[in-house]
Amino acid sequence: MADTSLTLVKGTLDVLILRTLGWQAMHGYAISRWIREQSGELLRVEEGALYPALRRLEERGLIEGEWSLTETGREAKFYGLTEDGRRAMRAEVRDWTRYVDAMTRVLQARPAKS
Amino acid sequence: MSSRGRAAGRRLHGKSPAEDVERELEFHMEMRTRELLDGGWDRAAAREEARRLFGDYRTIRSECTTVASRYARTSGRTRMLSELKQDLQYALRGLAREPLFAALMIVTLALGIGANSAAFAIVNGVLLAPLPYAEPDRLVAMWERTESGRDNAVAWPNYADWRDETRTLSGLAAYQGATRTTVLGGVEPVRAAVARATANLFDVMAVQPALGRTFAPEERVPGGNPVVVVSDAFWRMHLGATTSLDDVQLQAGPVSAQVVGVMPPGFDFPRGTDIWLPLDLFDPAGLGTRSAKNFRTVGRLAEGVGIDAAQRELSAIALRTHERASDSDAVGVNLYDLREQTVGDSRRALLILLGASAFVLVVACTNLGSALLGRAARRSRELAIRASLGAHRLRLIRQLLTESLLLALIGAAAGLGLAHLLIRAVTVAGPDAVPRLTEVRLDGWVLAFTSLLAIATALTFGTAPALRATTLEPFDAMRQGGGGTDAPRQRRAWSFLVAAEVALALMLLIGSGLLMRSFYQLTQIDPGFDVEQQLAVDVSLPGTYDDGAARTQFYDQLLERVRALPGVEEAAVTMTLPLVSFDPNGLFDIEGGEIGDGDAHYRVVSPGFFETMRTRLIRGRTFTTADRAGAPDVILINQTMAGQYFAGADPIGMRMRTGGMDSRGFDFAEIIGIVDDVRFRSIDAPPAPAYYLNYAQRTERIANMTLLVRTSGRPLALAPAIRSAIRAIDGNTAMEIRTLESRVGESFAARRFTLLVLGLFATVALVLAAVGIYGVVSSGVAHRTREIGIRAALGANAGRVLWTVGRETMMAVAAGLLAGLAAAALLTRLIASMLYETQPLDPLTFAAVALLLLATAWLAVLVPARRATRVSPMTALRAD
Repeated sequence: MADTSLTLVKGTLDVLILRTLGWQAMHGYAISRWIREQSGELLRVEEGALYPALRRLEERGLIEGEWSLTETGREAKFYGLTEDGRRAMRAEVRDWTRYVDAMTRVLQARPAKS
Repeated sequence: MSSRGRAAGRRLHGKSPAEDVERELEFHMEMRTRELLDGGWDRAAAREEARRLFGDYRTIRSECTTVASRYARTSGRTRMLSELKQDLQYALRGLAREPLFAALMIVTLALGIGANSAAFAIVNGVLLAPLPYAEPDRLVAMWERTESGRDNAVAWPNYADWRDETRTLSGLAAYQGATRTTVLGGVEPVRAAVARATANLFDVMAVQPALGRTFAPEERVPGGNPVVVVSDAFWRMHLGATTSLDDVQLQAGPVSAQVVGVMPPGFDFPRGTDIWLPLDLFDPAGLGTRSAKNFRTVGRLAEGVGIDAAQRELSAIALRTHERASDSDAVGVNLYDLREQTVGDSRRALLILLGASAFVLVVACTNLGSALLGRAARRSRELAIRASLGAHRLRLIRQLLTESLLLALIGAAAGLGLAHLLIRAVTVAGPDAVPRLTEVRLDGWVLAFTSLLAIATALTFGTAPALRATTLEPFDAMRQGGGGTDAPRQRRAWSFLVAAEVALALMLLIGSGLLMRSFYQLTQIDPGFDVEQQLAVDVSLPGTYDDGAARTQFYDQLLERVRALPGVEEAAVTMTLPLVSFDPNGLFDIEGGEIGDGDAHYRVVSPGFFETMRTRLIRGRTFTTADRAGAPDVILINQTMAGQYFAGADPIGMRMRTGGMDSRGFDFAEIIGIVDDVRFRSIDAPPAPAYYLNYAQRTERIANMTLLVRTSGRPLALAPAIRSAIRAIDGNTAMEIRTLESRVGESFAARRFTLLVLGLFATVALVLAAVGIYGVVSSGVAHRTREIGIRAALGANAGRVLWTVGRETMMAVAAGLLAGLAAAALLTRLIASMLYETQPLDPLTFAAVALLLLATAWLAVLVPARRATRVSPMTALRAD
């Protein structure tokens, strides 16, 4: 598993979290699982690294944590986007998409036959 | 969600961010492990794998904790601030939507809080603030106690005994209250208050001069170098606030003295003194026998000695003297805390003031509470919607309380303005009514009191409506439409508030009604003289008139000139003025009786006094100009004295002597007449035995006299002519011209003050109660418009509708009246001592006040209720 997975580029974790929470409020474990599953297990987040990132996003006022009950009746800390967080999510998703697009184009471009 | 976890909805789990982080990470590990178990791992391996996937657990945990702690610290503050801002904005918007409501609330609060701030400022300044001397608790005043238990001023030899023998007092000073004296040497001749005090007065009071010094030891003996100390006010006004006192010389009465010191601004003892003259300069031995009680005393308790111990010791000394010396009638000594004595009778008046203002505030609070209840009902729909949109109840309550608090603070600010005006009015109107009143101001204590009061008020009137407004189930509230709710529970709350208001207003009204009736009774008393159409001119002779003949001559001339003025019907001079001045007393004996047998007040007057005052001569004759120095000494007595000391016998023609009042007191004088009693000490004090002496025969005490002039026209029109008549005899004479009526009026000041304050508060309470009842009935009518319309449509007449609407409120009013009457019956006992010829349970007052309230309440019900009877059925049915 480790051989095929990709190490996360620095700074991308935040945008992944924001995008994930854009769907609904989730607890940390659910976030890590969502990212793992949606990337086809390709993106390997070192699972613990998620938590300091969550705390920092909360400190910046982009997300808000609140203890609540899971579907199985267990207490977990759920995070949700704040208004600021939603704005930041849209901007970052746009930026990253354009960045990845541009990267992809450059990486796949071939010199024109002249 | 039927049941929520203990932590659910909280931002932090457990007590600290560290715990919160720990729980969050644990949850992750557990879930991860379970996922792996589901994937077929065995337990131990799954746990190992979860840990590996997580990374460095300890580092991550500490990183999270650091961030979380930092966040918790800052967010707590900012969240609170932003929520407060939100609440305030919400409150302001809400009040702006209902400006009439807001204005009514603020005015009500301003009245309630303003009255209390003013009352507190006065009570604090007068009763609570310490006297401005070092360790004021140790200062005591001493009075001789007679066998009948009465307090007497102190005779010099008794003072000297106490001073020399006491161990319980560390110092003991004697003084004579400030008397108006002509003082030369300042900017112009002035009448200043000169007090004579033993030189140790300043040591006993433990006060240092602000400038210069007090009396030096060598100035504390008879015949020493004459010096005086002046008050801060006198120094500023008449000495130009000069800092070099070296050549400031004053002529105070007969004494020419060097000014050596200036007292600090707060020092005012004896009250009103401008100039302190050392008593010891004059030979005290000549000042008296044990029957001439001419001194007041003040002492300082020795370290650790209680007032009771000192009283026992001094009483023992006085008793020993009494057994030894035949002319001492003091069988003991009474000691009073100096502050107690300074504040004296006004304590009760001030506490009543405080109580009355508290009543007003409670009435205001009930009004506010009932208004808020009504408002909560109007807003129940909005609140319900917000609750259903997920607003926490606590948050809603906080918002409503913020609104109350905002109102209370605005009201308190307005109230402080009102208090400022009230205090100004009171200090202008009442300095004669209440001592130390000039020391009253809006200081830090008053501000603190007002703020606390505002907060307490907001909580009192805001809590119940806030709780009620937020308990409504959203469904109920929305179903009820815009008109809000009028549930039975709310109506009960309103009824209770109305009853409480009525009861409180009733108690205040009964209190002031009783005082008013007493005041009326007092005005019905015949004081024994006629105050109208008279001028009272205080005259102080300059010190150059140092022998009796010169003084008599001055007044003879004065009377001759004044009587010759057109518009003057009669004129006389007197040493003391009834209802105004101190009424000195001393021992006397009747020829053939026991020495020092009687005790009576003595008054020195000129011929024409009784004619000017229109005091009735009962038998015999009054003084004439033939009763001169050298002619046989004559004396007049009043009716009470005739009855008390001459029972059965005819006093006229008998002879008596007057003991220690002056050096001629040991010569017998013949009683030539009996005059009617005059109310002297106060209008409601029963007349005491008194005798009158002729000023021409008793010239030692007549440097300061009051000229009485009965006029045919307006008294003050004669003032200029009288002034120039006095100046023509001697330009250095100081004087003060007023009508007798205004001076005597001051003796009613304390009563009028209490009456005014209580009456004012009672009126405010009555108005508030009426407004409250009106508000309750109007909103009741508004809520029942539909019902009323239907009844009207079904043919109910106006009276029937009125009854429907008003019944409940009038029942509450009746309950309030009953409760108020019962409470008043208990409370009026507290003012029994302020009443005159009026029972605390005076049925007339009780009935009249109850009727007044009932009528007011009925009016407050009638106005909105009549509106209801005019509602047209169609409008009513369309309403909602």
